[in-house]
Amino acid sequence: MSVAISYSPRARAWETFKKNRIAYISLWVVGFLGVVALLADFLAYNKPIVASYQGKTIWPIFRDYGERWFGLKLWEAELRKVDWRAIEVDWAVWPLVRYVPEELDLRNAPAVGPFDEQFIRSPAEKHPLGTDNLGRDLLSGLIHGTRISLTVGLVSVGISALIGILLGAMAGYFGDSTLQVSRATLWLGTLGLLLGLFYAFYVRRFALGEALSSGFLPFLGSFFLSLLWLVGVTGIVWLPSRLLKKTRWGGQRVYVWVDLTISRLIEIMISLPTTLLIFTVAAIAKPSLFLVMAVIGLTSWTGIARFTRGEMLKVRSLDYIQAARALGYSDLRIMFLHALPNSLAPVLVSIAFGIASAILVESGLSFLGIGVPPTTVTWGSLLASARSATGAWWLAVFPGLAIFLVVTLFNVLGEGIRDAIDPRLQAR
Amino acid sequence: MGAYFLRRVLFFVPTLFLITLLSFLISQSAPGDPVEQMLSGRAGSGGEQLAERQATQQAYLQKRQELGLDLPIFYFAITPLAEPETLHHIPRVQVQEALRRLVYRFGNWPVVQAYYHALLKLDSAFYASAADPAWGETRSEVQALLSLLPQEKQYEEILYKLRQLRERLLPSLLPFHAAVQAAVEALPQTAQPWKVYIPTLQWYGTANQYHRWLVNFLQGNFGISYQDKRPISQKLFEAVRWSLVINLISIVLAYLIAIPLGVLSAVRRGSATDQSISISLFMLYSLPSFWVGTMGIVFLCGGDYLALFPPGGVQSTEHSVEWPLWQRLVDWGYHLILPVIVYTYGSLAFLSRQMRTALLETLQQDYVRTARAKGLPEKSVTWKHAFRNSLIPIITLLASVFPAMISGSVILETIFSIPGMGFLSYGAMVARDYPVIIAVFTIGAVLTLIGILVADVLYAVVDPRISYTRK
Repeated sequence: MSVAISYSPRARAWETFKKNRIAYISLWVVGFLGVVALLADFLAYNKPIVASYQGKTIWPIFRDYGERWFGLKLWEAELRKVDWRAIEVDWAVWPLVRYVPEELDLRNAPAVGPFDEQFIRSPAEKHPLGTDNLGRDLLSGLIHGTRISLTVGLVSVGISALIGILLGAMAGYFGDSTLQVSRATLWLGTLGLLLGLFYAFYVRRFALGEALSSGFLPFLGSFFLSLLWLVGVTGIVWLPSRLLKKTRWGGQRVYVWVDLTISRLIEIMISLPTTLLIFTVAAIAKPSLFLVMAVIGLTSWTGIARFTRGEMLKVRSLDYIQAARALGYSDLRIMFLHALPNSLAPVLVSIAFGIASAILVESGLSFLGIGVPPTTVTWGSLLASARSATGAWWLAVFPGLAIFLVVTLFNVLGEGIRDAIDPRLQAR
Repeated sequence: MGAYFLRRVLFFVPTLFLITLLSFLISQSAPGDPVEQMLSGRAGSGGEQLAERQATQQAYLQKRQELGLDLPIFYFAITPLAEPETLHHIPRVQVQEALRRLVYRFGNWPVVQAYYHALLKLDSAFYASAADPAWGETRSEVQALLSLLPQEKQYEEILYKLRQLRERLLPSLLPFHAAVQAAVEALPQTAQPWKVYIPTLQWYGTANQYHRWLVNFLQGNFGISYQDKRPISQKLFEAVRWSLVINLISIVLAYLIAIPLGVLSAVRRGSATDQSISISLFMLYSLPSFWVGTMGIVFLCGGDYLALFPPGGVQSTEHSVEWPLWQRLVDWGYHLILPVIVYTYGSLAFLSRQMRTALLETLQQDYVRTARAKGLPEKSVTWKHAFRNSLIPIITLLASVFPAMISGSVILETIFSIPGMGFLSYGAMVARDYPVIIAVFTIGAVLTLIGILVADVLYAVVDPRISYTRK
């Protein structure tokens, strides 16, 4: 058997990672869960995927998609409210579970177990893992909960990675004695930034708040407008510095303490009790999943920032960066195109662990019923239902098992990546 | 060392300031009117008669002054020119908020103020004319409209509500209504939106809400709970005992088990023992404690399965102070076994992994090799030379564990119904008792800060190699 051996560090890390069987399998399982999350509606839904009704072939799930996402009118009036499990169809291809998570099956409430007798029309309508207190299907909740858990993990870690990588890269690359600007730019730029923040986020705070409560997309639009204000105002205030630069005072070059400022910011963030902060904010604000993700993301970027900073410190003194400087590339170009890609490996470790802990925090929050809207079915809220339904072992076991599985998977992934990219460990 | 300590403490102060500022900001964003919460909504309901209304208004104003809520928020404020300095004098948070929105939209405070005053005049004229039987059914509708109108943020809604009001008012009140209508219509005509875009700085000095809150907080006065009107410091003091007891026991246990385990797997590195310890610790580490706790409650604490442990709480219902001490201790101990196990295993896994890594690193040091080369027995090398030095990072972890201990575990205390800090703050979160939530958060934050300070100083004290004089 011929094996292509490649000697780039990335390829070597990948080879090492693949040799770690448990980590490699975990990666596949995470991928599988991702597919489950994407296709949740085709695995558990109260309508068939495709059915023939009175001689017509209908794709009910896709019709629902069209109505929900594109605002189309696809359902005939007589079929709109119909319970597909109860009507006579010629044939139908059903999802694995024939319930949506929020659906209250009152005949199977409170809390019917997987081995108990269930009140169902046919064996295909069984609740495979039982129901909760309100008669909601557990397996359906678990399948759709995968989507929520993974979304929370990815979005919140996405936010923290964005902040952490950006700040960490700047702190590590520039340090305290690299970035030199004219005094005029420094002062006018700072003033402009403060004014920009004032207009973008203080004057516009009511508009932003209203947009947030009306949905994610309006908020994004309003937020973008705020960013425009920020950039615009900062730019306008900074503009005169081009003239001031010519004076003796304004033209003097000064160092910007990038590293010092960012390191202090990190220290302050670390000294915040993050979990307590998330709980407090979630308890005070209006319940929303997006808010939970945002708060987790905004409070957990310090680890990533510190890793990126440390790597950047190492990378920036390497010869190829010097070469890039000698070629006259701009700092931003060197930082993002040349230095950053080589500093990202340890961040992957942080990201994997971060996803695990974000999922844990979110399930803890929804376990307590804080921050997440009460109608949203999540793994945490399903586990919490075990507390009110005495003797419902399935409610205690399966949701917890799901949380445990996902958290373990991401922790194993993190360990695996760390082992793969740490050359010190390889040498041992 | 002294210089380092000084610098560390100097950094502590501004961070503390920032953290108190953050929790104050969060408390400011809590919905609802704190004064009405304290008066249990009595002031909000108002009364039928003018005199009665004036009395409740008086009570509201008095309570507000007592709580210092008529003061400006902070030492200074950077506000748009349009926003008047005097806005915080207006009673009722919702009314303030509505007027602020109007000012942000039209930028013309005198006209907004004229609208507000006209509204007040209409209100008192209405309640002064109470006795007229000509009102009939519409009176209660007018009342509802009059109480909603000052809180209305949307201009279009105000116009709509005013139209509704006019159809229902008696002719004698119409002139007052016309005054309000005129003021409202003047708003867009005299709008000065540019005023919103000119920042101004206002200085208030120490007579502000934050200063008052901070001084009270430093004196241990955390305010009054909305739920039972008791001082929060008293509630916290009662709760903190249980959090302390459980956490102390479980931390001691965790250290007692974790250190030998960590040493064992480090010394036998790579062996089957090491691997099985590592894997089981890893599983324990990923095991969500609230799942284990829930499983414990469902399967081991009565219900339909085993009844090995009591179903939550810290003492049985017949527990009394007259019992002999040993009996009380046994009762408490029986209740605490399961919570302590669940509390312990998570930190146990974390600590052993740290211990293993620390000892592995120490075992590779030169002085350990020297000790071995001298021909010292392996046991002596491990325990006398390597072990002591590897304890350093483990001991400093204690300092960061302490704050978590005080703030308690919200989830675990809720599962086991342990009346500690976590359970207290969970109860407050459910009941929207904001002062309690904020107090717990602030105390937790301050303790975290102190914990980190102590850890850093400890680290510098126990490890002389670490020099903090230059970064």
